[in-house]
Amino acid sequence: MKKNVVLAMAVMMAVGAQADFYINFFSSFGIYDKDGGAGIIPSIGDTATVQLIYAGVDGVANEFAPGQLDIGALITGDDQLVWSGSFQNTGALFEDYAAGNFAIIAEPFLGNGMIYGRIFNSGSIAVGDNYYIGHVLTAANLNPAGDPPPAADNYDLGLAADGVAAMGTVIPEPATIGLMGIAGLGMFLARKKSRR
Amino acid sequence: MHGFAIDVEVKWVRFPSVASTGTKARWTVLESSTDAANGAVREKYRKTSCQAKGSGVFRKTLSEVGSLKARSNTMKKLVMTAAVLACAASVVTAQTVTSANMVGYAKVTAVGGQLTLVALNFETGGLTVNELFGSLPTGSVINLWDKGANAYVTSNKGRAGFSPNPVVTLGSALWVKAAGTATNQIILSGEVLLSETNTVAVTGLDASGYFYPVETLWGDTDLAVQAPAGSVLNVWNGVGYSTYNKGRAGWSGNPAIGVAQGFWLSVPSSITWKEIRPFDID
Repeated sequence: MKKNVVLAMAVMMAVGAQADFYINFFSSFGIYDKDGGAGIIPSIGDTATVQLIYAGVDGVANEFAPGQLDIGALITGDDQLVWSGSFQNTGALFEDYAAGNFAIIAEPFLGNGMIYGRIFNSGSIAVGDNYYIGHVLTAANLNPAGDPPPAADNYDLGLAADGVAAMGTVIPEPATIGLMGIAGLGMFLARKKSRR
Repeated sequence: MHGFAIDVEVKWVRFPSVASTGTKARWTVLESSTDAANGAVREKYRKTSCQAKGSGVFRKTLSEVGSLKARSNTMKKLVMTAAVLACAASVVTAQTVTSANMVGYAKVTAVGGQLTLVALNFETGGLTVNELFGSLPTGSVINLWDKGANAYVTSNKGRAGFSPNPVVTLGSALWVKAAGTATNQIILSGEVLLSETNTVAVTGLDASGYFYPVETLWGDTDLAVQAPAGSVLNVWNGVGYSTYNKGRAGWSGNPAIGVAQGFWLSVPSSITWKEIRPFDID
């Protein structure tokens, strides 16, 4: 029995060692702001949040609604967050477009391996922020410690293949919208009453 | 036959200017390895030869790399202190040709149990893994990147040598993993490419090397220039990859590509790599 447990653990470890998203996450061209003019983080010191997300079984980058992300559930549908980090505009060339290197990511592999990247125009995502979603890529299942070691898969956010950047907006969560609606209705009724 | 033995740091050797087309030069390369455990040095001689295509003299001063010991049949000792030296070749009177013929060497250090990404900077005329790396101990593994199949050809060394035993060509890249713990010195030798340009197509992910046995900055290569935005260079630093991306502002770094050093390049769209010979010849 003990032998079987050891064997099972060894198999699990072996499988785990060969099951990674091994991604060189970067942006060669960078991202425009929502107006398509300046970069997404135009001023020195501006920070962007960058994320790598598993697109789930449906292989689609899910949003709350087209062009909208619910602040209460930034990851929706069957998507799963794989990695999150930040990128700062330090004043180097094209960093205002967030053009540069984000990270070399090694995280447990998920499902069909379909992933996408996205970026927000702030370091702490808030209502009203803009975001950009990149293309969906089917990543290879790699073992970074392989013998010989593989080169990482490359995910280029904002690649020309993504087309012109279409920015979405982070919205309040539906519950908040409901409360705001109720509050608005209450204010309207109170104002109507006071006029009488 | 003029014979000598040398013990000198050299990079290239050339045929004497009186050598002619058809002259065959023969020499023996001494490959040495040091056992990390007890410091014992093992040496093994390997015979090699090269057919001269012509004669010539180099204009460029050649830097020194690698440790090369060679000896001739007669074992007459002659210590050379210059970086460029004449090779033991039969001297015959024949037609003089304008093209030069160079033989190059590069030393690769393969520490047992560790990976080294190697590229072949020479034309070997069809030498195989076994002929190039045959001095490695049994149990060693070579992973040669097959550019056509986009996959490794894995050769394991047994009692009969490496199997399978593929041919290694100019620009090929491969992983060397020597068995044991000893430090092995491998001498790669062959003819230096003398054509003014060398052109190859690069598509997708490829393991490769520079076409000439000289150290160069990555940014000085035509490959770095031709690679479109979104290209990625991976250089093995001994323990992991150093990764460089090409974006709007160019490459994120400019590493040196050493003699016999391989690298990985990923390009988002196919390009034509037309590298210009980085040295002059008469």
